[in-house]
Amino acid sequence: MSSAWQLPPHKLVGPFTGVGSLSYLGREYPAGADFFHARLKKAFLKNRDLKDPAEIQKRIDLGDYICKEIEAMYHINKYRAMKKRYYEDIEAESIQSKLENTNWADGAVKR
Amino acid sequence: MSNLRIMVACKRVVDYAVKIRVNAAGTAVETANVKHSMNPFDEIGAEQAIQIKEALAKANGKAEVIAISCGPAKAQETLRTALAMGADKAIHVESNEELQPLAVAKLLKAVIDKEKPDMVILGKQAIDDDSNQTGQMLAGLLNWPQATFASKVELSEKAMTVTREVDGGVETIKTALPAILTTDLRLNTPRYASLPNIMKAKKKPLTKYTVADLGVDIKPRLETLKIAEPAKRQGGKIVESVDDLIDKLKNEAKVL
Repeated sequence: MSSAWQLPPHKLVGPFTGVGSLSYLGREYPAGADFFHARLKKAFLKNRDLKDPAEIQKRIDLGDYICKEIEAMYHINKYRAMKKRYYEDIEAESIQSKLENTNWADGAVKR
Repeated sequence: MSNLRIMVACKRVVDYAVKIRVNAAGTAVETANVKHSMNPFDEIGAEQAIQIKEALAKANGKAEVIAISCGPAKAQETLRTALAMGADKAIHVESNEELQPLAVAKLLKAVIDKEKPDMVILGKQAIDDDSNQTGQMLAGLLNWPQATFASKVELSEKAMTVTREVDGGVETIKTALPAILTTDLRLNTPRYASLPNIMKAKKKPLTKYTVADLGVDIKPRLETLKIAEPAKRQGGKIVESVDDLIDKLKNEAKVL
């Protein structure tokens, strides 16, 4: 018999989307997918006995919040990598040229 | 504005986080069993197209975003990502041959002649070959105006105002549509293709063309002679004293 729990988490849909989204995001986690998934499972198991709907909703909201945080982290990682790769030399050059063109006596930039 | 059609080119490249390795023969970069994803600059382009569509929807206008990718069958994964971000339909030009910027520009032109978009958005360059040529070549082939390295785009009736990143500052230009736009890093923040959206994207239409369908000559014009990794950085040394430092600067570095 196949139940929803036997599916890999990122294949889950419907009420499980929260788990699925987190698991899906975890595949690219910088510290490794295994690192992430082990902690994800632990976090879910810790709350398995929750019965109060309000409390459960609170945890789901927390999950959604963490999803957003991870997405933001992935974006900033990519942005920084691109900036480092393609823009830092240019910025260093511009600072260098400003330094070279500065007239230190009266503190004004020539160009 | 009636239905604005925006075409977005999306290249499948080796993921930015992967450490690039050159193959044993020194002829190419190792791509087998390596994680691939959409070129980050193309992601910015896709985001821009979707933002334009959303802004138009608020103003009771309509826009259609068409994602296009040229390459092997796996390029469809990249197209699915673009569809999950919010593109309406996708076009895949399948080719297992090496595609150089000129060949891609010709293929894009052939599809543009069929689809007739009002605007084509491309990343300024791909992070694998760093050519920075396809957008410019496409503009040349189509004889369309081009706004490259865009860091801000404003659209009005059949015209767009683009702020470009140029050496030492920014330049603002205005051009009529249809036009080519290539994106710079600071244009926007691409959204993440979430799992539910990836699922929904599987139902969106994807059209396939072959190179023969489009009747384009994709013969490579450039020959790669050799690919080599950059020299390994040599470790630094800790010097014991000032005298030691001066001695090393004089005798080893020979700068004094």
